[in-house]
Amino acid sequence: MAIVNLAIKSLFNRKTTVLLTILAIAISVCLLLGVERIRTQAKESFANTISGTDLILGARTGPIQLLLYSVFRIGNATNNISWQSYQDIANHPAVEWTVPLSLGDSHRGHRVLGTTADYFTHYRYGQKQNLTFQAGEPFNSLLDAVIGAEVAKKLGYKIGDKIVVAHGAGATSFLEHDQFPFTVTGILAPTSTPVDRTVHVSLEAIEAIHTGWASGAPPLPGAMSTSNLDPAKLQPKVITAALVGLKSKVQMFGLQRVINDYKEEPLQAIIPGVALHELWNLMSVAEQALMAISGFVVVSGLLGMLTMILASLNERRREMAILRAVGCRPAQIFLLLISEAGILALTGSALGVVTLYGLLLLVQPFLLEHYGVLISVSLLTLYELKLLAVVCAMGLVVGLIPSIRAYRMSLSDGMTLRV
Amino acid sequence: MAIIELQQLTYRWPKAPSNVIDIDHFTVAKGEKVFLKGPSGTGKSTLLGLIAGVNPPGSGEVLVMDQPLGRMNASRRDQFRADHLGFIFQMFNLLPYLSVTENVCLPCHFSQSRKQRALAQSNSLAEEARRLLRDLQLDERLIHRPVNELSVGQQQRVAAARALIGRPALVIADEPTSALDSDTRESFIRLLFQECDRESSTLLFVSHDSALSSLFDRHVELQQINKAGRQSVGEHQWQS
Repeated sequence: MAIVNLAIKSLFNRKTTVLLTILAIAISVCLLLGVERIRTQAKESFANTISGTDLILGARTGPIQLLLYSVFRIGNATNNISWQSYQDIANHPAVEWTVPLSLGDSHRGHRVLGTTADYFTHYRYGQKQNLTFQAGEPFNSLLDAVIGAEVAKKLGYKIGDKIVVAHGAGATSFLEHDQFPFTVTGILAPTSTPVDRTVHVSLEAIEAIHTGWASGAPPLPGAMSTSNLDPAKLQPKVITAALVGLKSKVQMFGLQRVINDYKEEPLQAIIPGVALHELWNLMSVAEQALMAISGFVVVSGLLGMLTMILASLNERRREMAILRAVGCRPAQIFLLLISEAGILALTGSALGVVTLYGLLLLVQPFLLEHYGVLISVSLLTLYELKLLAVVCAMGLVVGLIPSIRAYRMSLSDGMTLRV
Repeated sequence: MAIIELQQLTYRWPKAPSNVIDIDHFTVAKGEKVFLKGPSGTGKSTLLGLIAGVNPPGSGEVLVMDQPLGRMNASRRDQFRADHLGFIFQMFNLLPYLSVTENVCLPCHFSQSRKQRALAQSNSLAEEARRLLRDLQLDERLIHRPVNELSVGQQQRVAAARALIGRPALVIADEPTSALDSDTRESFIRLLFQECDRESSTLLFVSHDSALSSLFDRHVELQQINKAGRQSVGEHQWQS
């Protein structure tokens, strides 16, 4: 214990270099844990976004693409599917429920999703949790809108507020469906999924606000209003995708085959879990590269520590001679140096963890807002603790080098003071 | 009782062509204050290393308090040194990252018996350190200063207090006054004597400056007892 005390005091005496060394280790540890955490939590966040849906039906593109635009609202659909095809699949005997999804419009940067009221009963996230309302209720009439928790929070919307939907998915749009202002009738409880950032309206409303847009531009002002819309004509002709629930999971692959072989139109059905898995495979190279890079940064941090301790050895020969004279054994000199390495690695790791939590708190809202990834600021996981233990163990191993050298020096120098 | 007894002692550094130490017989009795005159190159620091048990003798015996150091293993010699020996070096005796009192108490962290003896004198180690510093006439106000702000003379008093804490049987002072000016030199030695008497420690004082030797009980020329030194064998170790 006396030796560890000496090590601490000796480190305190070299504040500047010690602080820089600790900082280098801290930054590397912070990077290592940060990469690890974002990696696992991004996966978790993605995996939690959809649950209880057996198949996702869409136009034939790549499975990952379909998953990304239908569920995660990332990117845009390359093609739609016809209402007729959708009805055919929905009426298949194996199908228990379907929820049509129609995307393409936005409200101040938030995607607008056209769907049916079934969405609120069948869409599930996390561990098969249902959507719940924190205020209001699902849409009943044509121009009702249900908004996600984050839309409400960020734009400060309450039940009864009027909102105007813009054409296209961009944050700013010059074409607005301003003939048809929607009324907020419901606000969903937070889910930490893209649902929070979505404005939900009925499929008919999507159809209604686009009537008269045949030329690709809005109809003349005043030409359209709710009164001159024919409800029968609001039957949608195309949708973007659909969520499909089956009576029995056994039929999942059978129906997937039926959809993929559909003759009338090129359709595609994906199993969300399988598509997610493909997504992970795609990303695993990048993940491993990131982990490798942060591993190397840790190594360089520890090498900085090695340099610092080795550089100090020569000027500390006098200190060792004094210690030898008061009866300190060479083994205790070894212990002194190795505890310095241990203390540096440990303090560096601890500071790295603190920095990580600070940064997480700082970037958490940003990541959620821009990437829809919720990084929870939770306790260290077992794996993260293991990583930290490995860093400290590596610090001790690196510390062996100056410790062994000091041991040898103290044996050969004895009490001879070398200026 | 002899505190130090050397018998037929020889020592040769590894790979060196000949002995640096070759002493037939040399003793220091308990309570004696011996002045050992040894210019550089006479094997002075090698001899001190042998008496301190840092290095084992090549042949012959080194007895300190009648204990043959040559028959102990290295860690027992280290423990023996911690328990019974106090050292004062030429200069830069103190660890810069410890306070004055911590420097004085340092030996007690490596030896239980010295700690016990120090606590038999005072209630705490810090108090014993302050007592020794007071006896050595170090200004109380300096105790809380960082050690590198003390003058060389003040530092040497702190070093003397460290050598004396826990009443070691033998205090070895290796040129402790060579960095002091002549006025403080004698007063330092007198204080050291007084304190060695109080702690009943024997003093082996090594210096090349024989002007001080008259103060001591006995004056010994290393060159006279060391047969190897006469052939002007260069010391293996460089010594300032």
